[in-house]
Amino acid sequence: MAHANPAHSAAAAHEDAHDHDHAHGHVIVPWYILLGVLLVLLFLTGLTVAQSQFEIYAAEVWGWQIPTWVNIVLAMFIATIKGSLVALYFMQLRYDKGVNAMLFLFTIFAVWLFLMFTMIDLNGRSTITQWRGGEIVEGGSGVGVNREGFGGAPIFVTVRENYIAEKGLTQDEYDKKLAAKHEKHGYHDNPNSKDQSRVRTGLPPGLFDDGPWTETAKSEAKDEADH
Amino acid sequence: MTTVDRGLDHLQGGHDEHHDVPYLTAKGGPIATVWDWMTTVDHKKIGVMYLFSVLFMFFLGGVAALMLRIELFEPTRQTAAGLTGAAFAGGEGSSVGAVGKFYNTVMTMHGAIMVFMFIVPGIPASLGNFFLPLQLGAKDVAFPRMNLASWYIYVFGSFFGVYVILTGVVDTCWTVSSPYSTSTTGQPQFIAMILAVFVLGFSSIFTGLNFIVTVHKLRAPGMGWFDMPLFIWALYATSIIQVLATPVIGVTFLLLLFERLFQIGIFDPGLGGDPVLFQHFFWFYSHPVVYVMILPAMGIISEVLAVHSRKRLFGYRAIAFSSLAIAAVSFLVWGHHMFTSQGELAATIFSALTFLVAIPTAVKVFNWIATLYKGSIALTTPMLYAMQFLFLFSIGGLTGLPLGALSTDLHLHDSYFVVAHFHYVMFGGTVIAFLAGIHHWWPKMFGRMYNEFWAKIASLIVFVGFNLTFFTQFFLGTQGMPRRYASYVDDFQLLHQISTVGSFILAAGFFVHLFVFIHSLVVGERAGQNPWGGLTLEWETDPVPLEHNFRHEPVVRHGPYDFESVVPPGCDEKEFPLPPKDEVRTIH
Amino acid sequence: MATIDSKASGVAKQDPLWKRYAPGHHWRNQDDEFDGAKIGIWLFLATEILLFSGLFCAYAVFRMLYPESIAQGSQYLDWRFGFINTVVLLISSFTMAMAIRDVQLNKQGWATINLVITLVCATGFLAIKFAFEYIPKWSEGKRLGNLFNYPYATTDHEHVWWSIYYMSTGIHATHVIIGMGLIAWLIYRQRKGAYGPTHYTMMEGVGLYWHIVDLVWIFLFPLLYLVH
Repeated sequence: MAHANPAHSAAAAHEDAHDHDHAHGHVIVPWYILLGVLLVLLFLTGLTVAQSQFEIYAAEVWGWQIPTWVNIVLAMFIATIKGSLVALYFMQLRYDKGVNAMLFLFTIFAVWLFLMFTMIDLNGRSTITQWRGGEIVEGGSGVGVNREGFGGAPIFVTVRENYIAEKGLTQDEYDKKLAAKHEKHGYHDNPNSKDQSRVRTGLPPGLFDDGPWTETAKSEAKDEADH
Repeated sequence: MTTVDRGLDHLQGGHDEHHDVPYLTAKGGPIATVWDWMTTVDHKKIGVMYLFSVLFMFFLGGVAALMLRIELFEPTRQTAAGLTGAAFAGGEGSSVGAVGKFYNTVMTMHGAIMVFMFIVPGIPASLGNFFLPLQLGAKDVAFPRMNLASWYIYVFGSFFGVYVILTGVVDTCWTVSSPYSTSTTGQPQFIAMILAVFVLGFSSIFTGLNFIVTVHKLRAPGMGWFDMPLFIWALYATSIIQVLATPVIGVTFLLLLFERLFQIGIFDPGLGGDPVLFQHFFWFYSHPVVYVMILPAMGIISEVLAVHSRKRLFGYRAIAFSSLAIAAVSFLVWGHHMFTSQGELAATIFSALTFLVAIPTAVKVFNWIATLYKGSIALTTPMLYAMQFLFLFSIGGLTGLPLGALSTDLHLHDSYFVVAHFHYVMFGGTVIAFLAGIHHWWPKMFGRMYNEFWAKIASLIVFVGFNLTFFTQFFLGTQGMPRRYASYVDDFQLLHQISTVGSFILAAGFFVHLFVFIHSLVVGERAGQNPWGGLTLEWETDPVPLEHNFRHEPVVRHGPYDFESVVPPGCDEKEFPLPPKDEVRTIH
Repeated sequence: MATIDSKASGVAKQDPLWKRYAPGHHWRNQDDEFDGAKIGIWLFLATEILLFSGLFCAYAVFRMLYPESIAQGSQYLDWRFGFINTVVLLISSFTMAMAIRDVQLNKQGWATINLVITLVCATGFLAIKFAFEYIPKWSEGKRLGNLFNYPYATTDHEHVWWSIYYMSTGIHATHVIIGMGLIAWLIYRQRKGAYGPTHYTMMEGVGLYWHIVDLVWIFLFPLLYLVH
């Protein structure tokens, strides 16, 4: 960019003496706008944190189970506003020619496309054919882990077993330590309990518990087998 | 190669403040000249350096291809004797024997070199760098030093990549799919290859970035967006794709690197990851990149068809917008490379979207044909290649339809049908158009004409060889021959043999071209300023363009394809007569 | 909105560097060069956004597939450090914008101060990150991939969570380090008088880069720290 060749600049400057010092239309954003934007950003950051803490507070104190998607949507919404403020004012998109803003928006659109289609695929694996859901061992089968003594079980299981063996703990002692470690997380203790306000994978727990329908199913299966 | 052009001294008007010489003028002794070229920021020199680098890579990739075809001449593996050795043996626990690994390695070399080092930089970096500023009436691209950096990065990445592949360890094929790529042995080579591709990506981004800013800010006075030649529109659309898609392959390979180093577990199912996720990441770049390959080629065809039939392009705006549309739609369809691995819901969506991309492409093909109608067609080499393009690219595009339709693709996926399809579009499309462009602009780049007769012979040999090689592969595919296999059932042998013979004919055609080019550079007849009678701004420069391109800043007074009303610059009316005023030359 | 006024003065040898700046030959005038440079920087920022989009995609996919691991993993992160880091980065963004404004108004002293504050904030960000987050966690065994060594893990994909965490924040931290290098270089050049009301392209460029770094963190913070 700086083609600053002393021999040329004098000649060039002499030529463009009028144009040289005049930076047409370069907008200077007033300091109070910048400061205002900063304060709004800080406020919104606080809001984001408050909103997430509120979910925990509400669950612990009032027993409200706010669905997880509310948290995500709200957080992303606030983040988008913050991002837009940074882009519009700090990055001066508001005062620039349109081409920069178009470029930025098109990029965001490309990112959205990428995420959306990928998630549609990975979520909708068994939408049409059941077996497409596949058998994925949770945590991975541990095959191919490049570490001494690992393999055959998910990494975290092996780590845990190694630790228990190394310290010579009984299962009870380990469980106590585990509970103590996770204590401060409060109501998130049992991630898969059906009381938790969180999206779970697969099917809701308790779905396959026995009920009136299982009797029918069992007797139908028996009929099939008999014929 | 360095022509000292004393004959043009009388043309020096003395108007410019600097003493401007043709860009090919030697700057002193051989060392000074080499240093000048190595440190140049002149887009023309960089374009020429890219041209030679890219064609060299094409040669390397072609050699690899010929090796593959030799192996495929016989159904059983031939290259067994004498090629076992630790370097070529399959990794521990792999089911691939020594010979298979060698074949897979050569195949990876062919794919990776051709895709990353030849065809993606291909037209934009060589002809694009040379002619984008010229056609816009600019003195250079927006960021000349970034241009030079892009070339050096390309050379570095290419050497690195080729070296790695030649070590014979990387045999994942150019698509590097996990879980094989995340777990196979050969850590240092893989790291090196990943870094090489990462680096090459930057070269691509720099070129694209440069072009976009140049088109926005450096057009000549009087040149609005719709007065630009269509080659520029094509390069602009290409650059958008390059800038947006290339970083995704960067992050993909970065994650692959970490997967190999630390087993982070996002692509490897043994660690809780998902291999299809890798494919999503990979193809999000690799599909738009095939449009990076074809769009500049289409731009060249627009130029060549117009000039060599002395006819205004039919539907300028349609072609311009269709370039942008292709760029936009290209981001929507990457899943069609994964029909057999992803879930069907996504597959259905992608299949439907894939049919969309055919529409702007078809718009272009019909417009080109309509351009030829009632034109004064001169059967020069560029025109012959352009016509070949229309035929071969149409075959390639139409055979994409059975691959885009989900139900038929399930049978054709990973068969030779796919191989034939993409070779028809990439080779029969891009490479043929590249050759058309090289011949069309050869006199402008080097100030010399090539031997027209032998060039035409070469183009015919290439055409025959190409079709022999790849048309048979359609049949192989539909009959079930899988791709990437080194050995096959006896039934396929005849078609494979025809294909191999065709590939050698193809190679022969390229050698004839090589001789024509060398002959032209050494003793070729000097070209005038405008041998074809083109109307775009590059033909207003000297026979060999000056370093700062134009003698006076060009002012655009006519459209780029106004053949019926403008006498071409540097020509007189007897050479390129204007049609009678009332002659109707368009389709009504 | 104030714009830069011109006083067409001649250029003398003792003028500061920014006054003596001449655009490249191929540009029609300095404004075109500035506009072109800005478009170029935005294109580069587009590539940065897409680079991070890969990481966001990985996060989104694993969040969708294995929400307990992600939720549990997010518990390990102390939101207070994330909050402080966000505040620090926002302030640094502000001072960066102010520094550019100061240069536009030829307040070179204030510009230096603002740039230095930016640099200090960036250092603070990294310091908090390393001292309070990376090092404690790494030593506890909460590491990425097959280096994972935390015995109290309860969910299956915890090592994947840590991989995502370290990769995202790591690549972000790398960009912060690069940004720090660029800002340091800016300070050096600015002290030499290279930037002024008619020429501050490089500052604008680095500023935009720095804002993108901030922007990425604005999205990374809630996703990693706050969304259980």
